[in-house]
Amino acid sequence: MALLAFILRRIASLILVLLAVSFLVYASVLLIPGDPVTAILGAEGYDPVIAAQLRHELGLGEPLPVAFAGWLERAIVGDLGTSVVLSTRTSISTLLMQRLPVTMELAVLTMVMAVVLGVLLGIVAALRRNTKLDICVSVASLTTYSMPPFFRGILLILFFSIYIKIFPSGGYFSFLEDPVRNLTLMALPALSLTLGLMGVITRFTRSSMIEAMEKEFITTATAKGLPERLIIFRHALRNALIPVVTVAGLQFGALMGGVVITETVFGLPGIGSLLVQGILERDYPVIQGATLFVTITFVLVNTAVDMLYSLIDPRVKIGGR
Amino acid sequence: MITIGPIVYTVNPFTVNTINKLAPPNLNDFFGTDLLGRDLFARSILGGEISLYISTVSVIFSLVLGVPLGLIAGYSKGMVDEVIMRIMDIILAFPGLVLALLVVAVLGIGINNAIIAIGFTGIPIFARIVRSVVLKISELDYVEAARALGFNRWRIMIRHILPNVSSVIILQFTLSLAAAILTEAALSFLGLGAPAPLQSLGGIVQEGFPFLQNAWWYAIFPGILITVAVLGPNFLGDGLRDLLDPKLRGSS
Repeated sequence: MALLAFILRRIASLILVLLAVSFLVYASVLLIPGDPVTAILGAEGYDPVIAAQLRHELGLGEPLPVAFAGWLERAIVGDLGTSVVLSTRTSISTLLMQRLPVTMELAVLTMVMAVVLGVLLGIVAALRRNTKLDICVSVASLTTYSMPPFFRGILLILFFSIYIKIFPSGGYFSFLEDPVRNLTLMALPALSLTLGLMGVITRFTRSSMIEAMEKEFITTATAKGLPERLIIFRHALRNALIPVVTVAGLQFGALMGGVVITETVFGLPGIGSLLVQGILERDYPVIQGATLFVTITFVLVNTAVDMLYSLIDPRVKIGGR
Repeated sequence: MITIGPIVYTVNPFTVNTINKLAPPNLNDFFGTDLLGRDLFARSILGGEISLYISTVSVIFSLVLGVPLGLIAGYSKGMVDEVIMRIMDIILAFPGLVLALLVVAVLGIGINNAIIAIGFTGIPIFARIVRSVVLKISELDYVEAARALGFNRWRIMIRHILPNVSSVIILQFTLSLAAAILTEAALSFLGLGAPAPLQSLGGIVQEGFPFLQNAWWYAIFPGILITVAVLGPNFLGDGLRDLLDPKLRGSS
Protein backbone atom coordinates (compact mmCIF):
# COMPACT_ATOMS: atom_id res chain seq x y z
CA MET A 1 0.00 0.00 0.00
CA ALA A 2 2.81 2.36 0.92
CA LEU A 3 4.30 1.72 -2.50
CA LEU A 4 1.07 2.50 -4.32
CA ALA A 5 0.57 5.70 -2.32
CA PHE A 6 4.15 6.64 -3.05
CA ILE A 7 3.73 6.14 -6.78
CA LEU A 8 0.44 8.03 -6.83
CA ARG A 9 1.96 10.95 -4.96
CA ARG A 10 4.88 11.06 -7.38
CA ILE A 11 2.54 11.07 -10.33
CA ALA A 12 0.47 13.88 -8.81
CA SER A 13 3.54 16.03 -8.25
CA LEU A 14 4.78 15.11 -11.73
CA ILE A 15 1.56 16.42 -13.25
CA LEU A 16 1.85 19.65 -11.26
CA VAL A 17 5.43 20.20 -12.44
CA LEU A 18 4.46 19.49 -16.04
CA LEU A 19 1.59 21.98 -15.79
CA ALA A 20 3.84 24.64 -14.29
CA VAL A 21 6.50 24.06 -16.93
CA SER A 22 3.97 24.28 -19.76
CA PHE A 23 2.57 27.46 -18.26
CA LEU A 24 6.03 29.06 -18.09
CA VAL A 25 6.80 28.07 -21.67
CA TYR A 26 3.44 29.39 -22.80
CA ALA A 27 3.45 32.60 -20.78
CA SER A 28 7.03 33.50 -21.74
CA VAL A 29 5.64 34.83 -25.01
CA LEU A 30 3.72 37.47 -23.08
CA LEU A 31 6.95 38.74 -21.55
CA ILE A 32 8.38 39.75 -24.92
CA PRO A 33 8.80 43.52 -24.76
CA GLY A 34 6.17 45.30 -26.88
CA ASP A 35 3.50 43.51 -28.89
CA PRO A 36 4.59 39.85 -29.18
CA VAL A 37 3.11 39.32 -32.63
CA THR A 38 4.82 42.36 -34.12
CA ALA A 39 8.05 41.40 -32.38
CA ILE A 40 7.90 37.85 -33.73
CA LEU A 41 6.91 38.68 -37.29
CA GLY A 42 9.08 41.79 -37.59
CA ALA A 43 8.13 45.09 -39.16
CA GLU A 44 8.77 44.06 -42.76
CA GLY A 45 7.03 40.94 -43.99
CA TYR A 46 4.16 41.62 -41.61
CA ASP A 47 1.25 39.66 -43.03
CA PRO A 48 -2.13 40.43 -41.40
CA VAL A 49 -3.42 36.91 -42.11
CA ILE A 50 -0.47 35.21 -40.44
CA ALA A 51 -0.55 37.78 -37.66
CA ALA A 52 -4.20 36.99 -36.95
CA GLN A 53 -3.51 33.25 -37.00
CA LEU A 54 -0.53 33.63 -34.67
CA ARG A 55 -2.56 35.88 -32.37
CA HIS A 56 -5.18 33.15 -32.22
CA GLU A 57 -2.66 30.32 -31.70
CA LEU A 58 -0.99 32.20 -28.88
CA GLY A 59 -4.37 33.07 -27.42
CA LEU A 60 -3.55 36.76 -27.23
CA GLY A 61 -6.44 39.04 -26.38
CA GLU A 62 -8.10 36.41 -24.24
CA PRO A 63 -7.76 36.38 -20.45
CA LEU A 64 -4.64 34.46 -19.43
CA PRO A 65 -6.25 31.36 -17.86
CA VAL A 66 -8.58 30.89 -20.83
CA ALA A 67 -5.77 31.42 -23.31
CA PHE A 68 -3.48 29.00 -21.51
CA ALA A 69 -6.20 26.37 -21.21
CA GLY A 70 -6.85 26.61 -24.94
CA TRP A 71 -3.15 26.40 -25.79
CA LEU A 72 -2.64 23.47 -23.41
CA GLU A 73 -5.65 21.62 -24.78
CA ARG A 74 -4.25 21.89 -28.28
CA ALA A 75 -0.73 21.00 -27.10
CA ILE A 76 -1.97 17.82 -25.42
CA VAL A 77 -3.49 16.53 -28.64
CA GLY A 78 -0.22 17.35 -30.41
CA ASP A 79 -1.09 20.68 -31.99
CA LEU A 80 1.72 23.02 -31.03
CA GLY A 81 0.94 25.64 -33.65
CA THR A 82 2.76 26.38 -36.89
CA SER A 83 6.13 27.86 -37.64
CA VAL A 84 5.93 31.58 -38.47
CA VAL A 85 8.85 31.54 -40.85
CA LEU A 86 7.12 32.14 -44.17
CA SER A 87 9.00 29.63 -46.30
CA THR A 88 8.31 26.65 -44.07
CA ARG A 89 4.98 27.24 -42.30
CA THR A 90 5.13 23.64 -41.12
CA SER A 91 3.27 22.41 -38.08
CA ILE A 92 5.53 22.25 -35.04
CA SER A 93 4.66 18.67 -34.18
CA THR A 94 5.65 17.53 -37.70
CA LEU A 95 8.96 19.39 -37.31
CA LEU A 96 9.58 17.79 -33.92
CA MET A 97 8.77 14.31 -35.16
CA GLN A 98 11.04 14.74 -38.18
CA ARG A 99 13.92 15.69 -35.95
CA LEU A 100 13.31 13.42 -32.99
CA PRO A 101 15.16 10.33 -34.38
CA VAL A 102 18.39 12.31 -34.79
CA THR A 103 18.34 13.63 -31.24
CA MET A 104 17.27 10.30 -29.79
CA GLU A 105 20.03 8.39 -31.56
CA LEU A 106 22.61 10.92 -30.40
CA ALA A 107 21.35 10.86 -26.80
CA VAL A 108 21.19 7.07 -26.56
CA LEU A 109 24.61 6.54 -28.17
CA THR A 110 26.10 9.10 -25.81
CA MET A 111 24.47 7.73 -22.68
CA VAL A 112 25.61 4.17 -23.44
CA MET A 113 29.16 5.20 -24.30
CA ALA A 114 29.44 7.54 -21.32
CA VAL A 115 28.21 4.99 -18.79
CA VAL A 116 30.30 2.09 -20.13
CA LEU A 117 33.52 4.08 -20.54
CA GLY A 118 32.96 6.16 -17.39
CA VAL A 119 32.34 3.16 -15.15
CA LEU A 120 35.31 1.24 -16.58
CA LEU A 121 37.68 4.18 -16.14
CA GLY A 122 36.30 4.80 -12.66
CA ILE A 123 36.96 1.19 -11.61
CA VAL A 124 40.49 1.31 -13.00
CA ALA A 125 41.18 4.61 -11.23
CA ALA A 126 39.77 3.26 -7.95
CA LEU A 127 41.84 0.07 -8.09
CA ARG A 128 45.02 1.92 -9.01
CA ARG A 129 44.28 4.61 -6.48
CA ASN A 130 46.84 7.43 -6.14
CA THR A 131 49.06 6.06 -8.89
CA LYS A 132 50.09 8.07 -11.95
CA LEU A 133 47.31 6.40 -13.92
CA ASP A 134 44.70 7.52 -11.38
CA ILE A 135 45.97 11.09 -11.47
CA CYS A 136 45.95 11.07 -15.27
CA VAL A 137 42.35 9.88 -15.31
CA SER A 138 41.34 12.57 -12.79
CA VAL A 139 43.05 15.39 -14.66
CA ALA A 140 41.73 14.22 -18.02
CA SER A 141 38.17 13.93 -16.80
CA LEU A 142 38.27 17.33 -15.11
CA THR A 143 39.70 18.88 -18.28
CA THR A 144 37.16 17.41 -20.69
CA TYR A 145 34.42 18.25 -18.22
CA SER A 146 35.62 21.87 -18.07
CA MET A 147 35.65 22.26 -21.82
CA PRO A 148 32.69 23.95 -23.45
CA PRO A 149 30.80 21.31 -25.50
CA PHE A 150 31.31 23.18 -28.76
CA PHE A 151 35.04 23.32 -28.16
CA ARG A 152 35.26 19.57 -27.63
CA GLY A 153 33.43 19.21 -30.93
CA ILE A 154 35.76 21.61 -32.70
CA LEU A 155 38.86 19.83 -31.38
CA LEU A 156 37.47 16.49 -32.56
CA ILE A 157 36.73 17.93 -35.99
CA LEU A 158 40.22 19.41 -36.19
CA PHE A 159 41.81 16.12 -35.26
CA PHE A 160 39.58 13.48 -36.85
CA SER A 161 38.26 15.20 -39.95
CA ILE A 162 40.90 17.76 -40.87
CA TYR A 163 44.13 16.30 -39.54
CA ILE A 164 43.70 12.54 -40.04
CA LYS A 165 40.49 12.64 -42.10
CA ILE A 166 38.75 9.51 -40.86
CA PHE A 167 35.42 10.95 -39.83
CA PRO A 168 33.32 13.54 -41.63
CA SER A 169 32.87 16.85 -39.82
CA GLY A 170 29.13 17.20 -40.25
CA GLY A 171 25.95 16.32 -42.06
CA TYR A 172 23.34 13.67 -41.52
CA PHE A 173 22.07 10.45 -43.09
CA SER A 174 19.27 8.46 -41.52
CA PHE A 175 20.20 5.11 -40.04
CA LEU A 176 17.59 3.30 -42.13
CA GLU A 177 18.91 4.77 -45.37
CA ASP A 178 22.58 4.00 -44.82
CA PRO A 179 23.57 2.58 -41.41
CA VAL A 180 27.33 2.75 -41.94
CA ARG A 181 27.28 6.32 -43.15
CA ASN A 182 24.91 7.26 -40.34
CA LEU A 183 27.25 5.85 -37.70
CA THR A 184 30.37 7.49 -39.14
CA LEU A 185 28.50 10.80 -39.09
CA MET A 186 27.27 10.23 -35.54
CA ALA A 187 30.65 9.08 -34.19
CA LEU A 188 32.17 12.50 -33.57
CA PRO A 189 29.08 14.21 -32.12
CA ALA A 190 28.46 11.26 -29.79
CA LEU A 191 32.13 11.13 -28.77
CA SER A 192 32.12 14.86 -28.11
CA LEU A 193 29.10 14.57 -25.80
CA THR A 194 30.46 11.40 -24.19
CA LEU A 195 33.69 13.13 -23.20
CA GLY A 196 31.63 15.72 -21.38
CA LEU A 197 29.40 13.33 -19.47
CA MET A 198 32.02 10.69 -18.82
CA GLY A 199 34.08 12.84 -16.45
CA VAL A 200 31.37 13.07 -13.83
CA ILE A 201 30.51 9.38 -14.08
CA THR A 202 34.19 8.40 -13.80
CA ARG A 203 34.70 10.54 -10.72
CA PHE A 204 31.60 9.18 -9.07
CA THR A 205 32.36 5.56 -9.85
CA ARG A 206 35.87 6.03 -8.53
CA SER A 207 34.89 7.51 -5.17
CA SER A 208 31.97 5.17 -4.74
CA MET A 209 34.16 2.16 -5.62
CA ILE A 210 36.79 3.27 -3.13
CA GLU A 211 34.14 3.59 -0.48
CA ALA A 212 32.71 0.17 -1.29
CA MET A 213 36.15 -1.48 -1.25
CA GLU A 214 36.66 -0.26 2.31
CA LYS A 215 33.47 -1.88 3.59
CA GLU A 216 33.73 -4.76 5.98
CA PHE A 217 32.06 -7.30 3.72
CA ILE A 218 34.87 -6.82 1.21
CA THR A 219 37.42 -7.52 3.92
CA THR A 220 35.41 -10.62 4.79
CA ALA A 221 35.30 -11.71 1.17
CA THR A 222 39.05 -11.19 0.85
CA ALA A 223 39.63 -13.11 4.06
CA LYS A 224 37.53 -15.95 2.71
CA GLY A 225 39.98 -16.09 -0.15
CA LEU A 226 37.60 -15.20 -2.97
CA PRO A 227 39.31 -14.31 -6.26
CA GLU A 228 39.91 -10.57 -6.67
CA ARG A 229 37.94 -10.37 -9.89
CA LEU A 230 34.88 -11.78 -8.18
CA ILE A 231 35.23 -9.40 -5.25
CA ILE A 232 35.52 -6.39 -7.51
CA PHE A 233 32.68 -7.15 -9.88
CA ARG A 234 30.24 -9.14 -7.78
CA HIS A 235 30.59 -7.44 -4.44
CA ALA A 236 32.10 -3.98 -4.69
CA LEU A 237 30.78 -2.84 -8.05
CA ARG A 238 27.21 -3.82 -7.29
CA ASN A 239 27.16 -1.62 -4.24
CA ALA A 240 29.08 1.14 -5.90
CA LEU A 241 26.76 1.37 -8.89
CA ILE A 242 23.64 2.61 -7.11
CA PRO A 243 24.78 6.23 -6.76
CA VAL A 244 26.36 6.04 -10.21
CA VAL A 245 23.00 5.23 -11.78
CA THR A 246 21.51 8.33 -10.18
CA VAL A 247 24.38 10.53 -11.27
CA ALA A 248 24.13 9.21 -14.81
CA GLY A 249 20.42 9.98 -14.78
CA LEU A 250 20.96 13.45 -13.45
CA GLN A 251 23.45 14.09 -16.25
CA PHE A 252 20.53 13.96 -18.62
CA GLY A 253 19.92 17.69 -18.22
CA ALA A 254 23.51 18.49 -19.08
CA LEU A 255 23.18 16.06 -21.98
CA MET A 256 20.17 18.00 -23.31
CA GLY A 257 22.11 21.26 -23.15
CA GLY A 258 25.08 19.57 -24.81
CA VAL A 259 22.82 18.16 -27.52
CA VAL A 260 21.65 21.67 -28.45
CA ILE A 261 25.22 22.84 -28.98
CA THR A 262 26.64 19.66 -30.47
CA GLU A 263 23.88 19.43 -33.06
CA THR A 264 24.64 22.99 -34.07
CA VAL A 265 28.39 22.35 -34.33
CA PHE A 266 28.00 19.20 -36.42
CA GLY A 267 25.04 20.40 -38.46
CA LEU A 268 22.76 17.60 -37.30
CA PRO A 269 19.07 18.23 -37.98
CA GLY A 270 17.84 17.41 -34.46
CA ILE A 271 15.58 19.11 -31.95
CA GLY A 272 18.47 21.04 -30.38
CA SER A 273 19.47 22.71 -33.62
CA LEU A 274 15.77 23.34 -34.31
CA LEU A 275 15.57 25.28 -31.04
CA VAL A 276 18.63 27.38 -31.89
CA GLN A 277 17.32 28.03 -35.39
CA GLY A 278 13.98 29.03 -33.89
CA ILE A 279 15.63 31.56 -31.59
CA LEU A 280 17.79 33.04 -34.34
CA GLU A 281 14.75 33.39 -36.62
CA ARG A 282 12.50 34.58 -33.78
CA ASP A 283 10.17 31.73 -34.68
CA TYR A 284 8.36 31.67 -31.37
CA PRO A 285 6.04 28.69 -31.83
CA VAL A 286 9.13 26.63 -32.74
CA ILE A 287 10.93 27.85 -29.62
CA GLN A 288 7.93 27.01 -27.43
CA GLY A 289 7.46 23.60 -29.00
CA ALA A 290 11.11 22.57 -28.82
CA THR A 291 11.58 23.91 -25.28
CA LEU A 292 8.44 22.18 -24.07
CA PHE A 293 9.44 18.91 -25.70
CA VAL A 294 12.98 18.89 -24.31
CA THR A 295 11.89 19.96 -20.84
CA ILE A 296 9.10 17.41 -20.56
CA THR A 297 11.51 14.66 -21.61
CA PHE A 298 13.94 15.89 -18.97
CA VAL A 299 11.25 15.94 -16.26
CA LEU A 300 10.07 12.43 -17.16
CA VAL A 301 13.61 11.03 -17.13
CA ASN A 302 14.32 12.67 -13.79
CA THR A 303 11.15 11.28 -12.26
CA ALA A 304 11.93 7.82 -13.61
CA VAL A 305 15.47 7.90 -12.22
CA ASP A 306 14.22 9.18 -8.91
CA MET A 307 11.59 6.47 -8.56
CA LEU A 308 14.02 3.80 -9.67
CA TYR A 309 16.49 5.01 -7.08
CA SER A 310 13.91 4.90 -4.31
CA LEU A 311 12.97 1.39 -5.33
CA ILE A 312 16.53 0.06 -5.58
CA ASP A 313 18.05 1.64 -2.52
CA PRO A 314 16.54 0.31 0.70
CA ARG A 315 17.97 3.28 2.61
CA VAL A 316 15.59 5.66 0.90
CA LYS A 317 12.44 5.36 2.92
CA ILE A 318 9.44 5.22 0.67
CA GLY A 319 6.76 7.62 1.77
CA GLY A 320 9.17 9.93 3.55
CA ARG A 321 10.24 13.16 1.91
CA MET B 1 46.03 35.96 -17.09
CA ILE B 2 42.85 37.55 -18.31
CA THR B 3 42.89 40.02 -15.45
CA ILE B 4 46.48 41.14 -15.90
CA GLY B 5 46.39 40.86 -19.68
CA PRO B 6 45.37 44.41 -20.53
CA ILE B 7 48.13 45.88 -18.36
CA VAL B 8 50.99 44.06 -20.02
CA TYR B 9 49.63 43.73 -23.54
CA THR B 10 48.51 46.90 -25.16
CA VAL B 11 47.76 46.06 -28.79
CA ASN B 12 44.40 47.49 -29.79
CA PRO B 13 41.95 44.64 -30.40
CA PHE B 14 39.99 46.82 -32.83
CA THR B 15 42.85 47.74 -35.17
CA VAL B 16 41.88 46.43 -38.57
CA ASN B 17 44.70 45.38 -40.88
CA THR B 18 43.27 43.49 -43.83
CA ILE B 19 46.66 42.85 -45.46
CA ASN B 20 47.66 40.81 -42.43
CA LYS B 21 44.44 38.78 -42.27
CA LEU B 22 44.29 35.20 -40.96
CA ALA B 23 47.99 35.28 -40.18
CA PRO B 24 49.23 32.25 -38.21
CA PRO B 25 50.61 32.75 -34.71
CA ASN B 26 53.92 34.65 -34.77
CA LEU B 27 56.00 36.85 -32.51
CA ASN B 28 53.86 39.87 -33.24
CA ASP B 29 50.51 38.20 -32.82
CA PHE B 30 50.83 35.25 -30.41
CA PHE B 31 47.42 33.91 -31.35
CA GLY B 32 47.57 34.92 -35.03
CA THR B 33 45.08 37.32 -36.58
CA ASP B 34 41.43 37.09 -37.59
CA LEU B 35 39.61 37.67 -40.86
CA LEU B 36 40.03 41.44 -40.59
CA GLY B 37 43.66 41.19 -39.53
CA ARG B 38 42.87 42.06 -35.94
CA ASP B 39 45.24 40.69 -33.33
CA LEU B 40 43.57 37.59 -31.86
CA PHE B 41 45.51 37.69 -28.61
CA ALA B 42 44.27 41.19 -27.87
CA ARG B 43 40.75 40.22 -28.92
CA SER B 44 40.83 37.10 -26.76
CA ILE B 45 41.88 39.08 -23.72
CA LEU B 46 39.09 41.56 -24.24
CA GLY B 47 36.70 38.68 -24.95
CA GLY B 48 37.86 36.91 -21.81
CA GLU B 49 37.13 40.00 -19.74
CA ILE B 50 33.63 40.16 -21.20
CA SER B 51 33.11 36.44 -20.54
CA LEU B 52 34.27 36.77 -16.95
CA TYR B 53 32.25 39.94 -16.42
CA ILE B 54 29.03 38.32 -17.65
CA SER B 55 29.54 35.07 -15.74
CA THR B 56 30.63 36.71 -12.46
CA VAL B 57 27.75 39.17 -12.45
CA SER B 58 25.29 36.38 -13.24
CA VAL B 59 26.52 34.25 -10.35
CA ILE B 60 26.20 37.28 -8.05
CA PHE B 61 22.67 37.67 -9.42
CA SER B 62 21.88 34.02 -8.56
CA LEU B 63 23.47 34.40 -5.14
CA VAL B 64 21.69 37.62 -4.23
CA LEU B 65 18.31 36.08 -5.01
CA GLY B 66 18.99 32.45 -4.10
CA VAL B 67 20.62 32.85 -0.68
CA PRO B 68 17.81 34.89 0.94
CA LEU B 69 15.21 32.53 -0.53
CA GLY B 70 17.04 29.53 0.92
CA LEU B 71 17.48 31.28 4.28
CA ILE B 72 13.81 32.19 4.52
CA ALA B 73 12.65 28.76 3.36
CA GLY B 74 14.93 26.86 5.70
CA TYR B 75 14.22 29.05 8.73
CA SER B 76 10.47 29.47 8.30
CA LYS B 77 9.68 25.86 7.31
CA GLY B 78 6.02 24.99 6.73
CA MET B 79 4.05 26.73 4.00
CA VAL B 80 6.65 29.38 3.15
CA ASP B 81 9.30 26.71 2.70
CA GLU B 82 6.96 24.59 0.62
CA VAL B 83 6.01 27.45 -1.74
CA ILE B 84 9.58 28.71 -2.23
CA MET B 85 11.05 25.30 -2.84
CA ARG B 86 8.30 24.21 -5.26
CA ILE B 87 9.00 27.33 -7.33
CA MET B 88 12.69 26.44 -7.28
CA ASP B 89 11.81 22.91 -8.40
CA ILE B 90 9.98 24.30 -11.38
CA ILE B 91 13.01 26.35 -12.44
CA LEU B 92 15.15 23.24 -11.98
CA ALA B 93 12.73 21.23 -14.09
CA PHE B 94 14.25 22.89 -17.16
CA PRO B 95 17.66 21.80 -18.43
CA GLY B 96 19.85 24.81 -17.53
CA LEU B 97 20.95 25.83 -20.99
CA VAL B 98 17.47 25.38 -22.43
CA LEU B 99 16.01 27.74 -19.83
CA ALA B 100 18.76 30.28 -20.49
CA LEU B 101 17.98 30.03 -24.20
CA LEU B 102 14.28 30.60 -23.51
CA VAL B 103 15.05 33.71 -21.45
CA VAL B 104 17.29 35.09 -24.21
CA ALA B 105 14.60 34.29 -26.79
CA VAL B 106 12.14 36.38 -24.80
CA LEU B 107 14.39 39.28 -23.80
CA GLY B 108 16.54 39.47 -26.92
CA ILE B 109 20.29 39.40 -27.44
CA GLY B 110 22.58 41.52 -25.30
CA ILE B 111 25.05 41.49 -22.43
CA ASN B 112 22.49 42.35 -19.73
CA ASN B 113 19.99 39.85 -21.05
CA ALA B 114 22.66 37.14 -21.04
CA ILE B 115 23.37 38.00 -17.39
CA ILE B 116 19.69 37.71 -16.48
CA ALA B 117 19.37 34.43 -18.39
CA ILE B 118 22.39 32.79 -16.77
CA GLY B 119 21.72 34.29 -13.34
CA PHE B 120 18.07 33.24 -13.29
CA THR B 121 18.97 29.63 -14.08
CA GLY B 122 21.39 29.54 -11.14
CA ILE B 123 19.03 30.76 -8.40
CA PRO B 124 17.63 27.36 -7.27
CA ILE B 125 21.03 25.82 -6.60
CA PHE B 126 21.89 28.51 -4.07
CA ALA B 127 18.42 28.35 -2.52
CA ARG B 128 18.56 24.56 -2.15
CA ILE B 129 22.01 24.38 -0.68
CA VAL B 130 21.49 27.25 1.74
CA ARG B 131 18.14 25.81 2.83
CA SER B 132 19.57 22.39 3.58
CA VAL B 133 22.29 23.88 5.79
CA VAL B 134 19.90 26.28 7.49
CA LEU B 135 17.54 23.41 8.32
CA LYS B 136 20.35 21.77 10.27
CA ILE B 137 21.72 24.92 11.89
CA SER B 138 18.39 26.32 13.06
CA GLU B 139 17.97 23.26 15.28
CA LEU B 140 21.19 24.02 17.16
CA ASP B 141 21.18 25.25 20.74
CA TYR B 142 22.70 28.63 20.09
CA VAL B 143 19.93 29.52 17.65
CA GLU B 144 17.43 28.34 20.22
CA ALA B 145 19.16 30.62 22.74
CA ALA B 146 18.96 33.58 20.39
CA ARG B 147 15.28 32.87 19.90
CA ALA B 148 14.76 32.64 23.66
CA LEU B 149 16.46 36.01 24.06
CA GLY B 150 13.67 37.40 21.92
CA PHE B 151 15.72 38.52 18.91
CA ASN B 152 13.60 38.98 15.86
CA ARG B 153 13.79 36.41 13.10
CA TRP B 154 15.64 38.63 10.61
CA ARG B 155 18.36 39.32 13.13
CA ILE B 156 18.70 35.62 13.90
CA MET B 157 18.81 34.74 10.20
CA ILE B 158 21.37 37.37 9.26
CA ARG B 159 23.55 37.61 12.36
CA HIS B 160 23.43 34.07 13.67
CA ILE B 161 22.72 31.72 10.83
CA LEU B 162 24.13 33.37 7.71
CA PRO B 163 27.77 33.40 8.92
CA ASN B 164 27.63 29.63 9.35
CA VAL B 165 26.32 29.14 5.86
CA SER B 166 28.99 31.30 4.27
CA SER B 167 31.51 28.51 3.66
CA VAL B 168 28.91 26.57 1.71
CA ILE B 169 28.01 29.71 -0.24
CA ILE B 170 31.64 30.35 -1.13
CA LEU B 171 32.07 26.79 -2.34
CA GLN B 172 28.91 26.98 -4.42
CA PHE B 173 30.05 30.34 -5.82
CA THR B 174 33.18 28.77 -7.33
CA LEU B 175 31.26 25.83 -8.80
CA SER B 176 28.50 28.07 -10.13
CA LEU B 177 31.10 30.37 -11.65
CA ALA B 178 32.56 27.49 -13.63
CA ALA B 179 29.09 26.53 -14.81
CA ALA B 180 28.24 30.14 -15.67
CA ILE B 181 31.38 30.55 -17.79
CA LEU B 182 30.34 27.45 -19.72
CA THR B 183 26.76 28.65 -20.21
CA GLU B 184 27.97 32.09 -21.27
CA ALA B 185 30.35 30.49 -23.74
CA ALA B 186 27.52 28.35 -25.11
CA LEU B 187 25.19 31.33 -25.51
CA SER B 188 27.79 33.42 -27.28
CA PHE B 189 28.90 30.50 -29.45
CA LEU B 190 25.30 30.19 -30.63
CA GLY B 191 25.35 33.91 -31.43
CA LEU B 192 23.08 34.75 -28.51
CA GLY B 193 25.59 36.32 -26.12
CA ALA B 194 27.43 39.62 -26.19
CA PRO B 195 26.97 41.11 -29.68
CA ALA B 196 29.80 42.34 -31.97
CA PRO B 197 32.18 44.10 -31.72
CA LEU B 198 32.39 43.27 -28.03
CA GLN B 199 32.20 39.49 -28.42
CA SER B 200 33.18 37.25 -25.56
CA LEU B 201 35.44 34.23 -26.08
CA GLY B 202 32.59 31.99 -27.22
CA GLY B 203 31.69 34.52 -29.90
CA ILE B 204 35.25 34.55 -31.23
CA VAL B 205 35.22 30.74 -31.40
CA GLN B 206 32.00 30.89 -33.40
CA GLU B 207 33.60 33.40 -35.78
CA GLY B 208 36.68 31.24 -36.20
CA PHE B 209 34.88 27.91 -36.57
CA PRO B 210 34.30 28.17 -40.37
CA PHE B 211 38.04 28.80 -40.86
CA LEU B 212 39.11 25.72 -38.91
CA GLN B 213 40.74 24.11 -41.94
CA ASN B 214 42.86 27.10 -42.98
CA ALA B 215 43.27 29.02 -39.77
CA TRP B 216 42.95 26.62 -36.84
CA TRP B 217 44.26 29.21 -34.38
CA TYR B 218 41.21 31.41 -34.89
CA ALA B 219 38.87 29.08 -32.96
CA ILE B 220 41.34 27.02 -30.95
CA PHE B 221 43.13 29.64 -28.85
CA PRO B 222 39.99 31.37 -27.54
CA GLY B 223 38.55 27.89 -26.84
CA ILE B 224 41.60 26.95 -24.78
CA LEU B 225 41.21 30.18 -22.82
CA ILE B 226 37.60 29.27 -21.96
CA THR B 227 38.69 25.82 -20.79
CA VAL B 228 41.40 27.34 -18.61
CA ALA B 229 38.92 29.85 -17.20
CA VAL B 230 36.53 27.02 -16.27
CA LEU B 231 39.28 24.79 -14.87
CA GLY B 232 40.37 27.50 -12.44
CA PRO B 233 37.18 27.73 -10.37
CA ASN B 234 36.58 23.97 -10.74
CA PHE B 235 39.97 23.18 -9.20
CA LEU B 236 39.40 25.80 -6.53
CA GLY B 237 35.98 24.35 -5.77
CA ASP B 238 37.37 20.82 -5.55
CA GLY B 239 40.07 21.95 -3.17
CA LEU B 240 37.58 23.89 -1.05
CA ARG B 241 35.25 20.92 -0.89
CA ASP B 242 38.00 18.63 0.34
CA LEU B 243 38.94 21.25 2.89
CA LEU B 244 35.39 21.81 4.11
CA ASP B 245 34.18 18.24 4.09
CA PRO B 246 36.25 16.04 6.38
CA LYS B 247 34.40 12.98 5.08
CA LEU B 248 35.99 13.32 1.66
CA ARG B 249 39.49 13.70 3.04
CA GLY B 250 41.70 10.80 2.12
CA SER B 251 39.41 9.46 -0.55
CA SER B 252 40.70 11.91 -3.12
